[in-house]
Amino acid sequence: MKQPSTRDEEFELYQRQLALVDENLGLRAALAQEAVRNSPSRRELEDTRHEIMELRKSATWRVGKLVLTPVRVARRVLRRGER
Amino acid sequence: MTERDGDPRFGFVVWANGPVAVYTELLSSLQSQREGSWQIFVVGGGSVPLLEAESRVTSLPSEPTLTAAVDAVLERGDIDWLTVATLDGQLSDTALEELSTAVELEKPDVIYSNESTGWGRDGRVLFKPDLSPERLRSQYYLGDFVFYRAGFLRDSGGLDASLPGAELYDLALRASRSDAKFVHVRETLFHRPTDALPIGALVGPDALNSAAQALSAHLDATGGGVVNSVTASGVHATNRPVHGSPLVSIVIPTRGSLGNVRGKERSLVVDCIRSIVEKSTYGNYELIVVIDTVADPAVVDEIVKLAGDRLRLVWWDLPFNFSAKMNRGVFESQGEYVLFLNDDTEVISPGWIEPMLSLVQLPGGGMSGGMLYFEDESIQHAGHIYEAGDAGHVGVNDMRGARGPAGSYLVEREVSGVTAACSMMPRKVFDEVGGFSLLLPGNFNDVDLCMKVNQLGYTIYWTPRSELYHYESKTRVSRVARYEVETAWGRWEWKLDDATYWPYGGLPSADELTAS
Repeated sequence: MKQPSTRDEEFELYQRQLALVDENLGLRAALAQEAVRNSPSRRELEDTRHEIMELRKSATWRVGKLVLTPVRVARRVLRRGER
Repeated sequence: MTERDGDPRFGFVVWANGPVAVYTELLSSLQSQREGSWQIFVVGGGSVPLLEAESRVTSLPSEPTLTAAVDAVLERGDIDWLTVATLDGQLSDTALEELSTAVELEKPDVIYSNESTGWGRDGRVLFKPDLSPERLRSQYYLGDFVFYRAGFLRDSGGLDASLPGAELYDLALRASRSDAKFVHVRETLFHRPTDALPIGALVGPDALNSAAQALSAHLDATGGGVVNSVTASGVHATNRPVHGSPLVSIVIPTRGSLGNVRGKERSLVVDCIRSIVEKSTYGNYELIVVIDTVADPAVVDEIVKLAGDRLRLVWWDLPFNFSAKMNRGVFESQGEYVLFLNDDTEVISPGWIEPMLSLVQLPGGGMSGGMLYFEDESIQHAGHIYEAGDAGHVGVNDMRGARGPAGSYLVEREVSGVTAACSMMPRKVFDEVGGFSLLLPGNFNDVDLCMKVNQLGYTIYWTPRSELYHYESKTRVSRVARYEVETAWGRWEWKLDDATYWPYGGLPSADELTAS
């Protein structure tokens, strides 16, 4: 490999090294951006969480939870017995 | 003790040395919870008929300290999460559901949420950042609705009885320096009474002394530092130390041109360098001035005269490219740390280098920046805001001396980014992130640099103790090339909405900026 002969050439080499790293990180960022675009955002997750909360408020959910309480208790008791 | 299955059980400890204040708001808001298992433990409160009418309120014998009261509750083993209820505030009606969801999804050790002061239409939301350890050592911002996992509390030894009045601050500091996982629920789950003291306020000399002791121990355990003062308002002056006296290379790109400051034509770079030379208390620095070949020779002479042996003059005869110019300056530097400085800045605080240096010397420190003011004494920069797909400066439109939201202009803290007009980096981090991007020759290069620093897992800090003027025009409208927008947003649009450390919003609109 040819060695740089002047300060300017040395800088060019340094700058090229920086640029390679920069492009690499930039490409990784762009890829991450695409991945994020294709996955739910934090805001969408928040919205979903709110929907779940609303669902939990519903009568169906409450009745279902009440009906299933004996099953949940029994499961817990069985688990304790297994330990 | 093993963790139990099932819905988490939340315990509220009310510690009273005598008749307890009637926690009617807390109680009624708990009774209104749509879901969630809870208990109030009144320790030493005597007989409180209103509370005793509720089976989920338990009266426990008097204990001499808050520590003993919490221990007594923990020993019962019938709760999974514990908070010390210091205020008779209201929970939002979904608070316990929100907390339960966070527990289930994120497996935290510590959970806190936003709060409001007052409620209803008159309520004002008190936003909080996510875990921000450096901010925490100057300000207990977590608030009065903080739950600790019971197992974590037991394992960490509970509260420290030797720190009366600051037990909870101490606990938060200890948790922040452990592996504890903090989760910040970005919802307003607790409404403080309107007459409550501000978050983090300390009452009485014992509390002030305790906080000073807790902070001192915390600094000792996390790389050192000094507690200069603790205040009843809850904003404490604590500094990190500079380790050693490494060479700092101050890189200043300039055309050597004149500017109008306070009605006078002045050589900006000469004034900038004069302020550095005359005011800096940090001794080991060099000045790398990357100057256009077209600069007035008289300006160059003045720079040489002022800077003396510290100066390394680097001639620039290529077309304008801020990024390349900065990279050239760094290339010519010899310091372990590089400090980027615009030529239209002027140092105000003599000890301006030390705070930025001490912060980038922290483990994982990637970058730091300071407080910049416009010529008219309004704030130009107190960190970056990345909000709703745009980037801007914290503090614009506030005057010098303002406290900022939740006292944020007064404390060193983590930030998402800082301006390249004044910022410091370890040279090795600069190289690791590829320096300033040549794809962004004029605009957004500092946003891009900060994003890269964040992406590699380094932390960026801001300090109010490094104060400078930045004589940038408030009304300047940058000429932004389309490809610069496409490059910067093509990389980082997904990150340009970041409330991690700046939850307060407030990005000024272009109209607001031009109107001021």
